Parts: sequence; structure tokens; C-alpha cells
Amino acid sequence: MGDSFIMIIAIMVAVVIMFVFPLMTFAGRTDDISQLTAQSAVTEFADQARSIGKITPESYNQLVQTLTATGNTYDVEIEVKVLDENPGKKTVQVEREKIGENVYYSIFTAQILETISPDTNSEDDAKPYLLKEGDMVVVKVKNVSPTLYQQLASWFNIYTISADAGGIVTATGKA
Amino acid sequence: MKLQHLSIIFVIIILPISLVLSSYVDSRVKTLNLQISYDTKLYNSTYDAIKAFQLNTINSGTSNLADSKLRDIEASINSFYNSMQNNFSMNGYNKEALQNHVPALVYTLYDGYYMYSPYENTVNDTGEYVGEGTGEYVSDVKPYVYYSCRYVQGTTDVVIGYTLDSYVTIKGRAGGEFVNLRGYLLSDVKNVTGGNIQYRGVDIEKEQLTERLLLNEARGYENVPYRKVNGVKYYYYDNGNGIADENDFYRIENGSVKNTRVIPMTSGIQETGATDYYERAKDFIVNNASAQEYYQDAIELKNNIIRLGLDNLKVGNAVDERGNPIDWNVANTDIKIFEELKNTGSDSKSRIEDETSQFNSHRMDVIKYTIEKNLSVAIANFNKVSTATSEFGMPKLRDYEWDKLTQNIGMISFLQGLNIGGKLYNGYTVVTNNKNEEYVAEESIYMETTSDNTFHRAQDADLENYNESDILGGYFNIDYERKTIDIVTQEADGTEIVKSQYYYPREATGCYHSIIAQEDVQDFKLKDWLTTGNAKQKNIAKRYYTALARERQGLYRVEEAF
Repeated sequence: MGDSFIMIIAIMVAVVIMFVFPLMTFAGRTDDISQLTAQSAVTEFADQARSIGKITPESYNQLVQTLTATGNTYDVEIEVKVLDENPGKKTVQVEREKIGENVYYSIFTAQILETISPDTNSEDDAKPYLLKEGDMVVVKVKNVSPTLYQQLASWFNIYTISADAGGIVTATGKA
Repeated sequence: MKLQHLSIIFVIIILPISLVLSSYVDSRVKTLNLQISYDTKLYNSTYDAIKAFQLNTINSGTSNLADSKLRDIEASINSFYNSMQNNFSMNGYNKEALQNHVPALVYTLYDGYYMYSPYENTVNDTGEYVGEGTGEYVSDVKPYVYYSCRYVQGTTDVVIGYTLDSYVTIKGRAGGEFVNLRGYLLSDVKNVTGGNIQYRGVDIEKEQLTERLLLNEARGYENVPYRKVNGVKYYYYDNGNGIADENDFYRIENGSVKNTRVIPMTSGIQETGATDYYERAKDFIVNNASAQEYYQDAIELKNNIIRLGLDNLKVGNAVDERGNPIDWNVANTDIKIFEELKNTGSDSKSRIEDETSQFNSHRMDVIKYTIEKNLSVAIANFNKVSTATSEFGMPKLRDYEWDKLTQNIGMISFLQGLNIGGKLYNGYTVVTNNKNEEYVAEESIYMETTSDNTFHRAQDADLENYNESDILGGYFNIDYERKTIDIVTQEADGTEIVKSQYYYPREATGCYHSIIAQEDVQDFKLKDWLTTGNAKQKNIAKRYYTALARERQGLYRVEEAF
């Protein structure tokens, strides 16, 4: 009775060592690569938007494609902080370049997607979303479907693959 | 063999593989993350540098003059290194260490570029030539390089200087004479009876422009008529007697108001004999004919090009400094550079000033060629100077980056040879700027409306909802930026106090659609409105093209300063 019990335990340990451990190791590395891909795709997307002053449908599609190629599903969040120069202008005492006296309002993913990736039912064509010098753009991605590693390691690890990038827009975009 | 033994052998094999693989992937991830973070740091530092250049040029009335521009460039380079030092200090690099890894900084300006890179100084402290190969290497701004190209065809031998728009300078021999032409290339401009000038069938008229200025503290802010000539705005400010006299003309130089002489000129000849001298000077400023002059100059340039046979020059006639033909990598080298000048509004062919024109694509090729040629040499030569162990080479710029550079003032920065673990960093950044006094791009003209005192982008869909009389006109985007002016006031005891005051040359606020949010901006060409638009659209287009012409005519140009 005792020997059979130890045998079962030994088989279970062997299964864990021979199958689950290698699987977890390789799944973990795959996640590292996915994380890296996500980070570089997001940085490239944000830097391009900042330097040309617009978020183009092509660059958004490219971002989504690169992310999808990792085999995971991601939630892409884009936030544009639009600089409103008018309040600073109405009184000449405030410093426009000073931090804290600029007024920003935010535009979020859904509003941006209406322009760059409209519904197929919509009559509008996909157009670039224009930004101006001084605006800020922030892009965040987060995986929503659990990866193999996350499923295997869910009982001791709750991290997700996520990446973000952003910064100030350096040139006003052309239509 | 027992199952347990099998497991242990398996673990002995797989564990090292997994550990090595894991550490390899980790190091690659770190390297790439470091590369991404360096890219962003370089980008941010370059932006800081171009922003410093922008702020300096906006606030300096003499920023266009060559030595002043050099000063602005040097200040901008300092900003770049300061910002780099701040950004990279966490990685253990100081300014000197970074300088060893920056092979070149390039400022692409309106008609040429400055390059900051080390070069061999073959002259010693006492001014003696010490010979090549023995001089000291110093980092500094090299002489200005124009976007120019030489063309040889039969007896015609000219150098054409290009710019970010359709302005060209042509120097050399053509049609049996020495030529020195300059001006904007425009198709479909003509003189019509009655002395008017038409661009694409629309009459270009004189304008009455004013700026809100505080010239006299007692009188407060007033709308003062002005005209911009060769980069300087001249103001007519009546001192209260209602008659134009010598005390009524001003200019603002680096924030301080200066009394100035204004001399009316006709075709470059000074009109000093006239008795109504000051009245004419007043008329020169108040009734601004800069836009008309812009188009008139374009007509003259076009006529001269055709008269001298320069319209036969082909892309394939371009030669390098040794006289060898330049390989442009284009399918057809028989394209005539100025052929599109002759296209009129009635044909469907592209006009020379359009983005889609053959002239424009050749212009971009020339700019790219002149930058690439010098830059690749400068970067390769950096190997002699740098103490870094890496091999420096010019990276290949992407097409969209060249597009940006050939349409805007910009800066290219390079950073190479930093160790990022497993490989050496080799990065570059292109940052452009479209808010400066160097160049009037088509997007730099904003339309102002009077009913709500706002300014809009010219392609704002909302503009059509305004009445024709509400549209005041077009203005340069710089005029909506804050400037400083020094006001001198006298105290009771007679001492003079200088007070600096901020002001906006134009008071209007940005339209929330097209300026703040950049939405509702239509992607059609405004030019089409000139010919096919309805009355309202035509009026907008006419005012826009008048403003564009006026601002371009008012830019500082070296050739016109003498």
C-alpha cells in the first residue's frame, strides 16, 4: 500500500519535472519575447506619431498586426492630451512654457479609433488623427487573453504582458 | 532503469539548457530595452535642441542674419548636449563621453544646412598653416552648405540653388550671358490689363495689415499698420499730429522699439526726390503690396528662364564637382526641370509649385543628395577622431524621414558606438519643426475670422460657415506666438525705466476644431478652390494665397540684403 502511494507521488513528480517544467520554461521565454515585441512596437508607434504629428491608420494597423503576431490578444489604449493654448493666451501674465499653467484635455481610444479605424458600417473613410506640437500622446497595451505561461503559473504569478510609451508631439501634422 | 532515475537524467540535461536559454533571452531583452530607451532619449534631446532653436529665432529679430543664426545653432547644440547629459547621466555617461559618440548633428534649414562635426583645423593659434594630417581636430559648425546642383548643357553652365519650397536661385552662364536669377517658380501667374496680377485666374490685391502693439504706454495697445520687408517689420505709428513725418516709422529689434527711416523704392531705385516723401512711405506700409510683388517677381523669373533657354535643362544635365553626371536613380533623366512653368490652369498637368510636380521630386532628390554626400563623409571621418572603438557609418534614413526633411526645417542627430550589452548602439533621430521664422510652409498660414476673433487652419471645414466679410485674412503662425517688447517710461524725476512686456502680435485665439484639436481639417488641396470653388471658397483661397505670398515675400534673404 505504502509503496504504491510513493510510486504515484513519484510519477506525479516525474510528470511535473519532465513535462510541466520544460513547458513552463519555454512558455516563459515566449512571453519574454512577446513582452519585448510589444514594447518595441508600442515605442515605434508612439515615436512615429510624435515625430510626424499624426496617428495614421497604417501605423495603427501595423501595431495591431505586430501585436497579434505574438499569438496573444491585446487591449490597445491610446490617450492624446490635447494642449489648449487659449487660456494661457487670454492673460499675458501666465507663462505658456511653464509647467502647471498649460491646460490639457484628454481624448481616448474610442474617439481616436472613430477617425483612424471607423466601423465598417460607417460612411467615413479611415483618416489620420492629427496632432499638434505640444500635445502629448500615450499608448498602452495589455494582453487580455492569458498566455500559456500565465495559465500554467496562474497560482503563483499574476503578471500580464504590458507595454507603454509616449511623449510630447514635436511637429504639427499635415492633413 | 527506474522512473526516478530517468527523471533525474532528464533534469540534468534540461536544466542547464533552460538556464542558458533563459539567461540568453534575458540579456537580449535587456539589450533591446536599452536600445529602445536610448532611442527615446536621443529623440527627446534632439527635440530639446530644435525647441531651443525655435524659441531663439522667434524672439530674436536678427535671427536670420548669418552670424546670429550661427549663434542660435550653437546655443541649440549646447541644449542638445545638456539634455543628453541629463538623460544619459543615469547610464553613467557625461558630456565628454557622449561627444565621442555623436559623429554629426545636422540642421536642415530653408536653403541649405549646417553640420556640426569634428574637422581638422590645419591652422595653428598664430594663424599659420600647419599642413594636413598634423592639425588638431575640433568640433564646430562647418560652413553652410546650400541645396544646390550644377547643370551643364551646351554653352549653359549654371548652379541652381533649391529651397524647401519652389524658390530657386540660378547663377552661372546661360544664353550667352552671365545670369543671377532668383525667385519663386509659379505656373499660371499673369499680368492682366489694368495692372492687376492674377494667380490661377484670381486677382491679387493690396492689403491693409495691422498688429496690436504697445508703443506708447500712455496711449495703450493700438492697432499699428506694418509691412514686413526682408525679415523686418516696419510700423507706421502716427505720433498724434495726423501727418506722416520722420518720427512715425518704427521697427522692433530684439524687443526694443527703434525709430527707423523708410525709403520708398520702385524696381530697386530709391525715390528720394519726391516732395510727398513721408506720405509715400506711409502708403508703402499701410497699403501693403508684398503679395503682388511676390507674383510679379515670379512672372519675371519665368520670363527670364524661358528667354535664356533654361527651360531646356534636363535632370540628366546635372553634374558633380568633377563634372561627372550624377546618377539620380530615376527612370527618366530627360525630364525638363522647368517644363511645368509653362503649364496653365486650363490644362490638367501639374503646376511647378505643386507637391506632385516633377520639379518637386527633383528638388527633393537634390536636397537628399547634398545632405547624404557630406554627411556620409563626415560620419566616416569620425573614426579618426573618436576614441570609441566602434566603426562609424551613416545609417540609411527612411523615406518618410526624407519627406519630413525636404518639407520642414529639421535636425538630424546621430549617436553611435555606445555599448548596450552584446552589441553597439547605432541610432539616429530626425525631428522637424514648422513654427519658426526661417520658412513659410503652406501650413504656416492661419486664417483669422473677426466675428469670434479666432484663427483657423486654412483647410478648416468650418471656415465655409462664416460670412465672407467675417474672414479677415491669413497670417503667419509666428504672429500668434508671444513676444517681448521693451517699453521705456520716464519717472517723475526724469529717470528712464525699461519695462519688458509680453504681447501677442495677433490677439485672436485658436479655433477649437482646427487648431486645438486638429480635427475637421480637410485633406483636399486649397489650390483647387481658386479655380473650381464657389464664391465663398474662392474668397478663402484668394485670401490664403495673398497671405502666403506676402509672408514669403517678407522673408529675409541674403541676396536681397545688399
